[in-house]
Amino acid sequence: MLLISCPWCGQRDESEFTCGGEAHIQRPPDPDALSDPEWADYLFMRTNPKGRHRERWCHTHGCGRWFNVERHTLTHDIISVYRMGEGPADDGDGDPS
Amino acid sequence: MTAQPYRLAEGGVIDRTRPLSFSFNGRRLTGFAGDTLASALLANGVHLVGRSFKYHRPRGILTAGTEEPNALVQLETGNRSTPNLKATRVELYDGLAATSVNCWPGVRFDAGALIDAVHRMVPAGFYYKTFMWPRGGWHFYEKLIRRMAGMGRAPEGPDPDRYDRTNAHCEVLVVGAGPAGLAAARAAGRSGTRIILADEQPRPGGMLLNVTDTKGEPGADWIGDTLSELRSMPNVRVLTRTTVTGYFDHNFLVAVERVTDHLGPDAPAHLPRQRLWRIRAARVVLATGALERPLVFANNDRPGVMLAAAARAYVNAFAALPGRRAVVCTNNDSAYEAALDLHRNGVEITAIADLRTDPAGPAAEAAAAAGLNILGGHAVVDTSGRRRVRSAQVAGIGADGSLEGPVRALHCDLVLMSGGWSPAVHLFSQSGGRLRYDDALGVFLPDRARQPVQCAGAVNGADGTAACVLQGQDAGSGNRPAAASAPAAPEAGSHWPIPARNRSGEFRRFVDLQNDVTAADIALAVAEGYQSVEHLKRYTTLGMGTDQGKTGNVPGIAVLAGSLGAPLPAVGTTTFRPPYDPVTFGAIAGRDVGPLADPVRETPMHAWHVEAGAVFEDVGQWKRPFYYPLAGETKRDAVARECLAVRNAVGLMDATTLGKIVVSGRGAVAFLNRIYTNAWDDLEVGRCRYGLMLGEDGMVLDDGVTARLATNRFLMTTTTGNASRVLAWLEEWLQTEWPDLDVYLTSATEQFATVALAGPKARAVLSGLTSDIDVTTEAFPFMSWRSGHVAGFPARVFRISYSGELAYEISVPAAHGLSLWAALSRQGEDHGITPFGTEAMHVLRAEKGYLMVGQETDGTVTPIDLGMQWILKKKKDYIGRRSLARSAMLDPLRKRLVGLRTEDPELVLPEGAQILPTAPSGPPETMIGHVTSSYWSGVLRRSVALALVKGGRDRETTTVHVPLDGRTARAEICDPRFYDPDGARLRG
Amino acid sequence: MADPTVRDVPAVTLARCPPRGRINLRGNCWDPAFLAGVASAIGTEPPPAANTSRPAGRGVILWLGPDEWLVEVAAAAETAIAVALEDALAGLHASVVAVGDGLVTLSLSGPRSVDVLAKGMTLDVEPDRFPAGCCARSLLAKAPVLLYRPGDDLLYEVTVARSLSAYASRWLEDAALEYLQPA
Ligand SMILES: [Zn+2]
Repeated sequence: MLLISCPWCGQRDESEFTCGGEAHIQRPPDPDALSDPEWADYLFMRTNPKGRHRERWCHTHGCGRWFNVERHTLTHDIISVYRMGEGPADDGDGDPS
Repeated sequence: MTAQPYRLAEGGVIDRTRPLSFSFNGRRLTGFAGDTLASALLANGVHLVGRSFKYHRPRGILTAGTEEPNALVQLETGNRSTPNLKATRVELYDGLAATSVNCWPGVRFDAGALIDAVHRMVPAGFYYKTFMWPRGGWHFYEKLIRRMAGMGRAPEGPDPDRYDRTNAHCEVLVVGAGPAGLAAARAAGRSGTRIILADEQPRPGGMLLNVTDTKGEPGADWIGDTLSELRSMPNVRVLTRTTVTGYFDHNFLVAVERVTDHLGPDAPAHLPRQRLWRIRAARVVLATGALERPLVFANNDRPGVMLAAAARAYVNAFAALPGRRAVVCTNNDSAYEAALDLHRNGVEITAIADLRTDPAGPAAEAAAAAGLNILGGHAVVDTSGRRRVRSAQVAGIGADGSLEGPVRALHCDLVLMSGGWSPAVHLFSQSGGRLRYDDALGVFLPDRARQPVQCAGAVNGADGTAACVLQGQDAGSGNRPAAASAPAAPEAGSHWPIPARNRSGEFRRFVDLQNDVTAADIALAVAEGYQSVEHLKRYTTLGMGTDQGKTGNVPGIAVLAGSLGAPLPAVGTTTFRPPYDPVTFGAIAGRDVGPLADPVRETPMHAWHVEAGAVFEDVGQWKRPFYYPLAGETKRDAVARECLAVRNAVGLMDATTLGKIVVSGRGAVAFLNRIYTNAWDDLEVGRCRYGLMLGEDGMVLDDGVTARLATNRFLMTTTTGNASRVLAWLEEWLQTEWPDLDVYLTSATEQFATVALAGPKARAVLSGLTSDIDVTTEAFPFMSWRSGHVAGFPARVFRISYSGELAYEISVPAAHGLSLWAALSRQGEDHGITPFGTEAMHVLRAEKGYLMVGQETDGTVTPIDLGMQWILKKKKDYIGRRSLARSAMLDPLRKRLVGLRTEDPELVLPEGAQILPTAPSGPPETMIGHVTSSYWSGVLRRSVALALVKGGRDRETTTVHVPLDGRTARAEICDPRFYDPDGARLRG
Repeated sequence: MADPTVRDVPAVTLARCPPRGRINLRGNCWDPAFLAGVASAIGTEPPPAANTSRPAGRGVILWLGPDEWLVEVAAAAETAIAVALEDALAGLHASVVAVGDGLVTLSLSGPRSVDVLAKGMTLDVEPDRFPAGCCARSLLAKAPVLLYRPGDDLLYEVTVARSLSAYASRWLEDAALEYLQPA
């Protein structure tokens, strides 16, 4: 059971949160401009790294806010937590992008 | 009452003034308060307590703790019965009843023991090799093997006991209340922060409880002082009878407290039997101690063969003699202390066979001074005796590890063994910490931690009470514990296994006593190529019993290393996984069982529905009336009656459970335009519109009616089952993609009670209950809403319909829901008003060909598939639009919604039935679709069905075939709007 | 822990509070006009700090999220205060929704109330970690709840959706059982 720091509420148990998968995937501003494969890439394809991973989480049973978590998928260490529209504090090595 | 022939007159923690009667395999025996079942059995001279798992060999008591592999019992009978409990851990209570596991018909004569006679035919990997032929044969063999192997039996009825589960937070969790743990808890407790000290024993003290002569080191007085200081600290919680079983991520640990297990079935009913603790600790100190290892010699599994420290515990802590005449076999000093303590209490120590050639040091000197016979460079190489050890065969062991000189048989009723100590690194390893092999100590020690955890005491290699206390103090204060002190004497690293004196003995040198894995099994597995320790484990089942190999794993690794000719650290350990000790399902479930297993949500009108005899349907967590049968009515009769009432007069339905979301803000219209497939700009205040939501993949997600309450304020409805999902999904878009859109969402689902009033007489009923809402068609047309009062309550009335009839949905604050319902019922009496449930609603909407999300849709259905192109905006973007343009979505052979008219009008097709284009001709058939909804329609006097069929309405008027159980039905593809296709009735 | 048993006081008491007026308020707390508007309607600005509350006239305003609050008032005052808030916030990006009928408040008090709550909640609810005035949304067993501690007493208010109130109250009763037996 992870202990996740909501950027608003502080540390709360994982059971209060929902994981929304990979972060920083933006909806294309003009979907019609995309080919079928490009659209499918946006829709279905996600990275699955062994190591640092940026994810979106929602504090569903708390303040209800979505935010970003950078998590190590092997150790579950949470490297950083940052609000929507912000970048991670630490942009060091292991950048999965 | 029977005497306890092996009970000492004095000493121990037992209370001789409180004798307890108990039964074992039907035999009535007596013990004392403070006994474990194992110590009480030993005091009565009972050593044969069970049979082994695979060979059904007689087994006794090996240990005095949680690591026990042999002495498993079934405790109590009936629904309270618990299988596979360790006799070494079961605390005695008056009236306790236990039986052996793994034996049929009884422990003294066991039919399965015949397996032992042929046991060379049952080697490692036996199941894999033998029972996989013929193909499918395993299913036959499995039943026989399960009966024979068995272990204990699970109770068949519901568990009558209560279980609790709780959460705790602390700054320091100390696991283990031996000298190191007590010292750590005291040091940490003095800081004033919250401390939890958990220990699996009924009394704190750990191994110190088993020691009478502490030779000047901290002892019983120290435990007493430390405990009273801990108990005086309000910030310290001491949990006894509590086993920490799992160490998970982010310093989350799970422990099981056995609250009343020690009281038996007479425990107070209001107390939980067990409590599962879910502990979040800022820091953890593991003071989990060390476990003594057995030695691997021939027939080392006979009742009466016991770990040396266990015998010491039985004598010192429980005043129970495990025998009268003992032979000791050891490769280290610790067994000497056990031998001396037994000797002092009148046990004759025939010999101490020490694998080390020249045992020296204070332990050996003290033993020699007491006149004990020490045989250096010797070992027990075999034992004899049927249900109890009768003699030990002792022989010299040469420098090359082979048997040397004559084998002498020493008469005895007890064999003590010590193969050294393994630090209990299980929890440290579970936490993600790395282990390292320490050559000097000959053990795996905690190395690099991955979480905020420190190890202290014997688990960290500390030797002796004083060293443990020091390490505990350091760890408790948050300092790094000093390095482990060097052991008093180096241990023999080889002699795994000890050579046998004959071929039969070679096959009976047990490594894992619970799973009956022998040294020969390991050698065979290695010869067959299973050389990695993880492969070996799975092939031989080494360490896979309920004890998880606490005693056998390290000897097993040593035997494997020997077979491979590799150094022990190169072999490594298998992964330690939770639970450290088995956990009951009751403790895991806690109070989330029976009526509390899942929330049950009820509407404000629930009591009325119950009173009216409604049959309920679960929709998500909601209880919704399914139908309201009158006396003697079948479901079909009741539903048909309810439907006809709506078609011909008026019905009322509880629609409270539909999700309601207030959408407000300057960006509300833009938001709805993006979320729904249709356009919302031109919807006037006072009007409603039906909307369809898609996922970004173009598949239908939800639908519902949204009303414009004010210029920038809308009330959206969702389906019952999707209410919270849709709200979360809308919030996600707003927060993550469109933060610049000025929109706020607020759930109002619970704020209102909603009644659907449907049928040609609906207007007449409503008009009688409102004076400030003009219900004429001109003033209040279809797809509009009005606010005012209904039955005196402030209300919003929506003129919308899911039945195809003239209908209103009336929403009032939830507190008035029941009163509104009652008022409508009274008002409608003269019009034949009839309550209807969800099943009638399903029929009514299916007669109209209306979609039901979750029935016609399953996450693979687009609006085009449903024939709903009319609701798709042409130009502007919305969620899911791009996906609808993907080439695969335009395939004319996608399954599309149609109506199905069965040839036999009485036949109601089963939902989910497959549809074939031609009469079945034998497999493989070509399947072109399936039935999604199917009902008896009272108003049409025939069945109606909706289906998804390849090609959709291009096949209209063609006949399809629906294979049923033993026959095939024929049906015609048709327009899904079976009733009033032009919608004249709902606009009236 | 010291045994918190106190003579003459039940170890834990569970009660269903009488109906209340409640208003869900959303808005931008970095907008001075929003803060002033709220203050003009209920007498106080919404608390900006997470998990805190402020007295508001005879009621209280509780933080639910960075742009969301719950105003608790007397049941009879709900409509008037909602209208006052709507008027005061007209033209601003804000949302005012009366939700008093949709929620039920249970109160849990007594020396063992913390132990009872801990059984169903992963929040750290011990008195010094969850001080007077503290509020937080979380889960009680499987029910989403709003937990609020109005004062220094060991009294916690558990606010839950109306339809889940029977579940939550049965769950708490069951959890409290072990503390409620006669000695
Ligand atoms: Zn939060």
